[in-house]
Amino acid sequence: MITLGQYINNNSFGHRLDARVKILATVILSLLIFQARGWEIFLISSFVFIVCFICRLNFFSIWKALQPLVWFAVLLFALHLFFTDGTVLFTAPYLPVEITAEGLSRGLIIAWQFIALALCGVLLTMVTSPSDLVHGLTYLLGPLKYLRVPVQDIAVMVSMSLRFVPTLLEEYDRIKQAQIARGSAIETGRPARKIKSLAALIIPLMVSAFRRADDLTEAMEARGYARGPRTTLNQQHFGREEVFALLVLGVLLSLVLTSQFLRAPFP
Amino acid sequence: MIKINNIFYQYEGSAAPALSDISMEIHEGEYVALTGSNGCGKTTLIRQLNALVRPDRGTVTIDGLDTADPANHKEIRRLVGMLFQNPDNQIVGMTVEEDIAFGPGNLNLPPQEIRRQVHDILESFGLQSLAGRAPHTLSGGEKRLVSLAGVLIMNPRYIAFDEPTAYLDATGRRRVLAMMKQLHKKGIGIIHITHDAADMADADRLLIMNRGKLIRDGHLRDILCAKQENTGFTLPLPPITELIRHLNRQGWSLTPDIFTVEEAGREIHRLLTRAR
Repeated sequence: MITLGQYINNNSFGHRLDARVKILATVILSLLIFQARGWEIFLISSFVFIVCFICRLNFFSIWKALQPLVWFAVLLFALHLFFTDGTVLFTAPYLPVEITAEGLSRGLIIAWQFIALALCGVLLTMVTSPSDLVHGLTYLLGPLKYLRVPVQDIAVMVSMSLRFVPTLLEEYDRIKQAQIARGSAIETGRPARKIKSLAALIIPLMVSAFRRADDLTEAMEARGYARGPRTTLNQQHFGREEVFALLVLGVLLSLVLTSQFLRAPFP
Repeated sequence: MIKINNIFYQYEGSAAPALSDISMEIHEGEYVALTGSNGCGKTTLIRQLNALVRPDRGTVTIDGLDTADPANHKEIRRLVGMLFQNPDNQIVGMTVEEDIAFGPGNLNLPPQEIRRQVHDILESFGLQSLAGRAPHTLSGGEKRLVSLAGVLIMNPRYIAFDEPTAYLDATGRRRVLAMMKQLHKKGIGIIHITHDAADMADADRLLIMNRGKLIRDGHLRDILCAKQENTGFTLPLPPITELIRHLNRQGWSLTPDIFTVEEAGREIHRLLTRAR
């Protein structure tokens, strides 16, 4: 069975927290990650790991979610390591490659920033259900409606897209099996033939997606959907736990900002 | 009461009308089966009841509300629930409870009230354990029940079912049909599109369509007992009727006009008692 996202509710502090607070925390942490230097890196990393621990997340699942991104982090590290000027630490024999102290530290920081940023995103999706995420975002983007941005309609569109991702993946699988049964070379042929037979997969999938979209529009209309404001089942709650979480986040923010203020040269 | 008055409807770009000269009434609490060959206009007709399409000519009124007036659409869609052929395309929420809450959300009910109603309906359907499940993880029968719960939460007076037992196994089929009978008992008007003659036997009335026209309107028994006119559509006999007629041809003296299992049971019991 196809599963969407990595959210499994284990009713931890992080899972219970209001989605708006979690989104806000993710945004603030992401901004801090880009500003962090020296001991701030250690502080933010420890904070994120403590949050993972509090949320009782399985570290293997986190690693599995991060795995596809690790190669990109390695590439970022290598680029900075090999192409940054500075104090030479090592020169490769017979190769025009020099490793500098600045390159090493910069590469490590950039790779860390990237992984930490990805970890924040993974953390958010692991402790927040897709629907809570959409509702939280809808609330936070609420002020945009004064600029005539149809925030609620966008929220319905996003949740609908998320709802149909597994259905379309199942459909893709069904069409693929049907094409293989009829002798298609999707899995076994040469690359050129594979690409050619991909068209026989994509076109029916597109047709089916459009047909589904038509049926879905009708079903939504039949259930009284019309553009404009509507209420939802999800109730936003802002209690003691949310206040506590924001306070902790505030302390972290002040620590990092104070450190940066002290580090900055006085005019 | 649903009142259809001489309607005509043609899809854009289509050579022939999808519906023509159709007039009928469906009363509150009535169980109406609707049948006919594929493409004869059954689905188009029930889409008229929910104001998803409006007639080119003629009128459709639901409890006095004209479907041609957009101001009536919200109320009409509350009054007439629709269950589509494929529940996969009807379930819009990311979880079961969110999907059921979709209709009340469209009526702008407060979240606490929506939660209460969703809780009640999940309990009455015995679906509490599925509340947080994603729709694609449900079985066909469960999906059908979830879409029905999503319709019932709107407190409709009529529900149109478009082949509700399609894609279902025997257990799912029995469950859905039992649920429909229960709703009928509660006084909800049922419009049931079906090709299965056994399902038609439960209906108060049977409507037969052919090429966009309503060709028969009556009780299954009367339609099957009456001389079949050449209307271009042959109504299949319920399997139990076929069995009884077969036994009759074999020399057993059974009444040939039997259309339900209960009637057949009584008739066979009568025969066996006499033979003993």
